[in-house]
Amino acid sequence: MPPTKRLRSVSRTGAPAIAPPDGPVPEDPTFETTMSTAQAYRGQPAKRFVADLAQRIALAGDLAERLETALHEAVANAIIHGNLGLSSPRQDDLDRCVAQEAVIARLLERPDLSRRTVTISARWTASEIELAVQDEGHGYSEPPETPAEQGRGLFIIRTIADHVATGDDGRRLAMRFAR
Amino acid sequence: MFDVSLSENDSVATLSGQLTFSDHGTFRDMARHLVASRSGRLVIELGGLDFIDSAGLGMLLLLREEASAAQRAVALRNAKGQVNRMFAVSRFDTLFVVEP
Repeated sequence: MPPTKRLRSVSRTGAPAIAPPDGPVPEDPTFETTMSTAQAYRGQPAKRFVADLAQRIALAGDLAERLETALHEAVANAIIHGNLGLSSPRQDDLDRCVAQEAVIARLLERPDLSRRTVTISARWTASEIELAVQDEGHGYSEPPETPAEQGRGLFIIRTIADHVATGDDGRRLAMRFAR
Repeated sequence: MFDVSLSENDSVATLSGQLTFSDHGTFRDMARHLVASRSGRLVIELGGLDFIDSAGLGMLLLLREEASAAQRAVALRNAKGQVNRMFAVSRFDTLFVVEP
C-alpha cells in the first residue's frame, strides 16, 4: 500500500464526506476524522468511524466487528497513554482501576490536554484496509516489548489485525486488515 | 448497565450495553454487591452485552480474583458476538466456567 500523499476527503464531524458507495470510486481512497481527547473519551469514536466507513466500502463477514474492536483499543491507548500521558497502571484490583479513572477525569479538565487531538484515518485497496490512529502526546523512544508492557489492549490489536506498525515515535499506530 | 438478582442457587448479575474502560466504577459496585451476596455461584449473564474491550476483560478477571478470595466460582453465561470472540481471543474458557 503506498503512503498517503493527500487526503481525498476530510470529515471532522463524521458526516459522509466522499462519494457514496454507488458513486465513482476514487483512486487512493481515504477517510479521516479528527476529534479532541475529551470528545474521543466521551463518545464512541470507533463505533462511529466504522459505521461511516461501512457507508463507503463493503465490510464482509466479521470485518466490521474486528475493525471496531481494534480501533477502540487504539483510540483508548491514544487517549490514556498518548494525549493524557498516563503510563500503564498496575490494574491488579478494582479500587486501583477506579482511582485511575478518577485521574483520567481530572486530566480531562485540563484544557491543554483535553484539546489535544486524536485523528483516525482509513485507506484501502481492493485487498486490504489500513486504519491509523494518531495522537499528540509525547510518544515514546522505545516501543514496549513484553506483553505486560504492551498491555492487554495492544495484545488484542495484534491478535485481530493482520499487521500492526507504530510510527511518529509512538504517536501513531497503523493496523492493516485483509478484505 | 447491570442488574443483580439473587436466587437460592446462584447470584446473577446481568450486564447490558457495553463494558469498557470508562465503566470501572459501576462494575466495581456490581462486583462488590455480587461477591457480598450469600447465595451460590456468581453468574454473569451476558446476553445483552454488545461490546467489551480489554479493560472490560480485565474487570472480569479482577472479579474472578475477588470471588476466588471468597471461595466463590464465577460463571460467564450467554456471551454473544463480539463478546464471545473477545473471550476466545483471551482464552477465557480456561479461566472461567463459560456457559452457553
